[in-house]
Amino acid sequence: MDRRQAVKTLGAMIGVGLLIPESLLARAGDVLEGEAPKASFFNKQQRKLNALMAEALIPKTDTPGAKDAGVPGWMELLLQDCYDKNQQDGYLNGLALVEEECMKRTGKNFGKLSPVMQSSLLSTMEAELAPETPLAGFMQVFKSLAKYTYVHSEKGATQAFGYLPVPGKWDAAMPLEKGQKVWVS
Amino acid sequence: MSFNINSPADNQYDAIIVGSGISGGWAAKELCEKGLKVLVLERGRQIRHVTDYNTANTAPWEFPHMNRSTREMRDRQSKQLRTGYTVREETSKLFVDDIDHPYVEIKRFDWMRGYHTGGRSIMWGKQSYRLSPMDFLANERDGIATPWPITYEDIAPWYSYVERFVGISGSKENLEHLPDGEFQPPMELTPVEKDVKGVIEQKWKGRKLIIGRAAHLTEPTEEQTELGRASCQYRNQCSRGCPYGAFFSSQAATLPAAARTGNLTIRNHAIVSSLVYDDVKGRATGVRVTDELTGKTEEVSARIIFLCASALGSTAIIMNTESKRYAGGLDESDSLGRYLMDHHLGVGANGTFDTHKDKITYGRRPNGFYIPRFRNISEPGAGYIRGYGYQGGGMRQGWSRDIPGWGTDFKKQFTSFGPWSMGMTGFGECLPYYDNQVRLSKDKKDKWGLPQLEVDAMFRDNERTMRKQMMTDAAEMLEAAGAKDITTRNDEPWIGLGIHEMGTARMGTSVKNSVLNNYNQLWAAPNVFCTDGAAMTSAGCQNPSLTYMALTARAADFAVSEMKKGKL
Repeated sequence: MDRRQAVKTLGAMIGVGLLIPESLLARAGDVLEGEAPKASFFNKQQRKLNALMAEALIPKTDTPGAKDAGVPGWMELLLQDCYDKNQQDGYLNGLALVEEECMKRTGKNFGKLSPVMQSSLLSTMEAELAPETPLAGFMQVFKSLAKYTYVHSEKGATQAFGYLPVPGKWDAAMPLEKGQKVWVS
Repeated sequence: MSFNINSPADNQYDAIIVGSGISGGWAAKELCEKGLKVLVLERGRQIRHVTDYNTANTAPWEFPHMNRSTREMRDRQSKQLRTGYTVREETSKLFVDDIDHPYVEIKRFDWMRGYHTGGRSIMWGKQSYRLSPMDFLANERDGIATPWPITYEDIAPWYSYVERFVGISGSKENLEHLPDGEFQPPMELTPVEKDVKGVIEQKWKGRKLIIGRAAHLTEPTEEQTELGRASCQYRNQCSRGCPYGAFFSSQAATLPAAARTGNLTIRNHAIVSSLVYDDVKGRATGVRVTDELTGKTEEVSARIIFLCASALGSTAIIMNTESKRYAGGLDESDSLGRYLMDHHLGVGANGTFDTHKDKITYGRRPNGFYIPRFRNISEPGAGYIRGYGYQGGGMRQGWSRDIPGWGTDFKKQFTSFGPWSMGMTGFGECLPYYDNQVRLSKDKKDKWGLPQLEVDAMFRDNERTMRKQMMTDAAEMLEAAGAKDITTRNDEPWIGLGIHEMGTARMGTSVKNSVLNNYNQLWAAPNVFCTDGAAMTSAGCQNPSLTYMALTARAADFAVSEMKKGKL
């Protein structure tokens, strides 16, 4: 919404005859099409691994998976703009550690494993690694960010969870029915 | 609504009110309704009710960063960040920029400020409790600091008066140490909260668990409806500003009530630096104002002045006032700037319950439970005076709990409800200490050339000793109620983080022991009233805003009756 607003504002500025660098206009065009990456925090390999891991955590089922919900892009944007430098470094290091551990355990790159194998490898690593190791720590950071961005994405919030912008009432003890979605706000 | 008019100061005002927050809003309403021409000077920008609540209806995915704080925000708000919950996209603009608004921390002091129309009445916690007869007698009984110059009986009618207008939802409990008020229907406790209530009230005579008393409308009165206010919609996104006017703020309630009299002018970007003091007459003739945007200074005069600029804000104005008679501010009791108090929190316990798995909640209750103080009332405290209450909630866990695994099994858990859990955190009374001090810096100035405040305060032995029992009592109550996986916390308590600054221009019985008298008049200038947190003589352990409101309405009534008698 804000991005669209920004583009509108750009248009208004052109209207009053301000000079806009061409590169900025080009970027505004990209944004309009909704295709441009929101962030440029990762290199290509990191971006791919991060997206695979997100889907391995939250696969598509009868509700959207991480990829359909736009989680990889949101994660990258938050990493870029919200994380401190040392957290960013720790995160990139963590991705490298995942690839390294995967090679050690399977003899393959993470991307060469089937989606089911990816989930099961990460579950096994989580169960086996000592919690104080950098890799185990990273996996928790990853999960926390992937969960947060999934829950607050439009698809995650409205399809996998129960998004209630205006509840209108308070019921302190409502019966839990089958299929009831967990609330998000 | 047309009350936000920035008209030039024409010196035609009966009253000047400094600040438009919870106290200033009340002063504006009362004085306007009594027929005075009122000028409210607000140091920050204008925020119009509803129209300017920019994030009130923003979905999480519509925020640029899903409502997280960015590095850029954190760089500019490094002190506001210390709450852990205020600097994010929904609310960061309601808290000050720490680079533009510096202060000096001799010791760490977490000063959370909102400089805009309505002040912190937009972001406050809404918990609204009366102080009790015991609280107004506490200093005298303990022989510390100085006695309050008023009793509970003096202020009780004013509590009732403001409660009826504000709209407080709560339950009548008949507790002497937490007097009932004029309540709208209470919000309901959850099943685990009811269970815990049952256990602790049975096991410990004198302990109670009640629903929080909070300034949310549950059954609006005609007066509230007329002002455009509606019932709570259970969004619990209050701090973004409520589009329904369901919680009490200056914008939703007192300022529109003041505006409809035709007597109100609000001027934004008007930083009051000092009073203009007449040594001969022993009164203030007006205030000195610096324009936030242009830096231009001027004097504005009025017959009476209400300082409602927040505890430290009002104190700074009194200190910065020049006088031949008083050096370093209008005070001869050596109490101005001293006895800074706050409530200490960040201590308590959490646990989970394996009961009520067939129940969830619907809606988001912007309120929790309250456990009124019992230490040094029905049960002794272990080596300290005064006491604490608890605030907390018992809710079903959702997506944010820790869930092991990756893949479909993880996702199934992630999208299912977890167990009920309960957390409770103590709010402890802080004693008034002479050495907990704020003063004007001798050399450091802000960008308007006004002296920065220097804060030199800390929680001391009484609070630190109290905290041990605050933690163990919480854990014991959860344990008695059958909670599992109980964890306790006792964070390092930083003063300021309660966002209840109090006491730096206290009320007292004599010019020798206080800055303000029993009607919040400056001893040194009877036509100046200070009715915000600065006036507090002791802190109680209850959230203080309701007391500021009652003190303000009482002082306004007194001021106008004195004016009518020709005494002011």
